[in-house]
Amino acid sequence: MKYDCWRKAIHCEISAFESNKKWETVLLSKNKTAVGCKWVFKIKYNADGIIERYKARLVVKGYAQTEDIDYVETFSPVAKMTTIRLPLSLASIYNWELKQLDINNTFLHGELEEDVYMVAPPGLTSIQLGQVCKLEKKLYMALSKLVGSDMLNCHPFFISVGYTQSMNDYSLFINSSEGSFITLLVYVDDIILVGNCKEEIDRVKKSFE
Amino acid sequence: MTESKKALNKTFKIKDLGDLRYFLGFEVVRGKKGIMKNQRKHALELLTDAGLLAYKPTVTLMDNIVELSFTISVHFTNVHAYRRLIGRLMYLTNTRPDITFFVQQLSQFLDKPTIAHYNATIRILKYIKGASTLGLFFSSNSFAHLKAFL
Repeated sequence: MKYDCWRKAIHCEISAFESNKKWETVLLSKNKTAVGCKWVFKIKYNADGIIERYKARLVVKGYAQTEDIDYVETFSPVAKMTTIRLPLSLASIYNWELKQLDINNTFLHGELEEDVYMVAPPGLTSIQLGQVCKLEKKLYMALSKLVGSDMLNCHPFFISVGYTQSMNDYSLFINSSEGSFITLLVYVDDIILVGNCKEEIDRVKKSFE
Repeated sequence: MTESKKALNKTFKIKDLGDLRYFLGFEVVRGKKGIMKNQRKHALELLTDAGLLAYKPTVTLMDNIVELSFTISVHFTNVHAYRRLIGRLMYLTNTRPDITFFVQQLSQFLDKPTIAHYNATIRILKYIKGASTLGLFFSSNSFAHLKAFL
C-alpha cells in the first residue's frame, strides 16, 4: 500500500469493525467454509467536485452464497421519488426546517441469524495464522441477504421514539402532536427530517446520539 | 424500553449534516422564494463520462426531420453504452420534466439502437449542456392543495 491516505482509510474501516465488535477471530471448524473478502476503494467528492475523503470499504464476496440455502430475503429501504418531493414542497410553503442526517455504517446495525465466517482481510494485523473472522453482525451489503433485516432492525427504533410508519411508503415516518409535525424520510443510510418544530427535530437528533 | 433505546442509541452512529443540501445526487438550494432542487452534478458527470463537455450546446431537444425506427439506419454496435446513457438520462428526469418525452421515445429502442438513435441521444446531452442547472422549483407562494387528475 503506497499511499498514506488509503492506508488510513483501511485502518479506519478495520477499527470501526473492531470497536463495534463485528467479528471475533476464531479457528475454522471442520465442516464450515469461510467466504472471501476484498477491499473496495473509492474517492468521495463533494457537490462542488472537491475531494471529501478517501474511503475503503470491506466487502464479502457474497456471490459465493446461494439464495434459499445461505440466505432467504434481500431488501433495501428506499423512499419513492414522489415521497421525497412532497416534504420538500411542504417545507417550502410553510417555511419548515429541512435537515439531513447520515447513519454511519448502516449495514452494521443488524443481527446475523446464522454464523458466517470470513477470510481475514488484508491489512488486519491482530490475527494469527490459520484464524478466520467469525462475523458477529452483518457486514455490508455484499452479503445481500443481510440488507433485508436492516429495515427490521432500524425501523422499530423510529417507532419507539414516537413515529408512525406511513402505509403508503414504508420509509416515511410521521410524528404529529399538538402543533408540531415532523416527517422523517429514510433512504438506506440517509435521513431527511422535515418539520415545523425545531425543538422536536433537535430531540430526534439527540435521541440518535 | 428506555434500556433498549439506550442500546439502540449506542449502535447508531449519526452524523449531523445540518441543513439539507445534497441528497441522492439532488442538490437542494433554499432561497426566500422557495426551494430549488436540481441534478446539476449528475448532469455534468453524465456529460463528462460521455466526453461531451466541449460540445456546442443546442436549444432544442430533437430534430423534427429525423425519423426514429428500428430499420432506417445502421445498427449502433455499442449497445451497452446506449443503454447506460438512457438509464442515466432517466434518473435525470427526476428533476427534468422537459426531457422526459424524448428519453421515453429513445428508451423504446434499447433493444436494437441505430446510429440515428445514438445521435438523437447526443443531441439531448447537448441540450442538457446548455441548461444543466434547470431543476424543480418549489415556490413558497403556492398553496398546499392536493390535486388529482383522472
